[in-house]
Amino acid sequence: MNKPDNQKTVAYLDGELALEEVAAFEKELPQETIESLQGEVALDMRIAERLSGPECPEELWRNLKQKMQTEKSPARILRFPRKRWLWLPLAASLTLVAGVHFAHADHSFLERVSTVAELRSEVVSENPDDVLSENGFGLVVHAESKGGHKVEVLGGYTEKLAGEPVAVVCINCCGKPIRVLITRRGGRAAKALLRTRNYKNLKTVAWRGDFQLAIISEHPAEDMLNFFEEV
Amino acid sequence: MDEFLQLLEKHRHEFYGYIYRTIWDSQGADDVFSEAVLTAYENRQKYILGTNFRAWMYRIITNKCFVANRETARRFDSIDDHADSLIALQSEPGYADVLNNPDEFLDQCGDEVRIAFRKLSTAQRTCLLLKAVEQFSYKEIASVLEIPVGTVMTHLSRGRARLRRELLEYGRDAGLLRKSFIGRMYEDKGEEVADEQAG
Repeated sequence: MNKPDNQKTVAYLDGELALEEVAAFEKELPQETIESLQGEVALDMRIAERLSGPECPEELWRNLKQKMQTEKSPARILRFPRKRWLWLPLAASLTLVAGVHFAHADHSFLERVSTVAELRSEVVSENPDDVLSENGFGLVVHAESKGGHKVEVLGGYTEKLAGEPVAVVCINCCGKPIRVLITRRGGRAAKALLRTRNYKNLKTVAWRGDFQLAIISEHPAEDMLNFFEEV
Repeated sequence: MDEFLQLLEKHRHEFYGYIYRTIWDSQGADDVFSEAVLTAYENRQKYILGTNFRAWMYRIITNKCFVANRETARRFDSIDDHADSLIALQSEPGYADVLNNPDEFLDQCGDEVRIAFRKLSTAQRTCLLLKAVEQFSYKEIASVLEIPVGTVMTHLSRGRARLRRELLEYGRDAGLLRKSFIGRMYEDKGEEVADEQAG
């Protein structure tokens, strides 16, 4: 009796063969084997029925939806009081709130990614030079593996920090995710990054002409600053 | 409600079920689901409306599952050593009768189907769920998991065979297989079947 090739069998069971391939596959086999394989298909369907679910709890979804909808709500318009003596405590409150907000925002984006696969899923353009030029950052990337470090440039995307665009170049070095954040030197985003200098994953901050580069990584990565050249 | 949120809402049960079956500790499904949904929402500008939303989401969700399972970045590099194949399984005693009446057998197995499924590796579980339950193609699964199509097929083949072997062994131990099957099982070895074994 002809035994079917394992890969072809898997493809047959998964419905991945074209009609003519199915006909050619079945032609080589005795009827008994075909019936047995069709029995496998039925068994797969029954097992799949028992593996679906459970459903998402309604309360969990309600809470998440509320969180997402609140996030995109427009800011409330503040009306300044006519009495001037009220402005000072109001200004102090706003400064405190802004400080807490920026401190929280800085840390949340630094903590987001933990694996190369997750970083790769965030990439919008596989060519980081495109991301840099589209945002007006006059830099190009020339990456190379050396000194025992295997380097792969994954691509790039754009973030917002303190209301300013930040170009993020994503790199895989020895299987570790590395992000290089490029901002305008002296801008709000650059200052926000400098405020988080003592954060453990912020490896180094340096400048290339009008631009500030910050490396976020758990892996030694200072040499990567050499990958960036001014245009 | 914005379009992206509508898409999330439409598929929320499917995503939750996948997470529940993929992570080792299913008690953590709420947390992993929340993280995946919020990450997706934060990055919604990267999704192009009209393209494959499910594949886009499953990439994020699967990564969160692997982080939850504390898997390493090279999780797909090693194929487990079980050399099980469906072809070998088909000559196992009792198996043909399972194929002839899968509903009856699986109903009798009850929760054992889910218990046996959890014995598979994370790679095998994700491939089987994406293929058998979510009906993705090989190419889509390969894209979601960032592995070659050949590796997807290997995980499916071995995952299927391992799951069936677990269920078959459970069926024998629990006395679910009929007397006539057990008779055939021991025939070649020249052993007699005890009445209590036939149940």
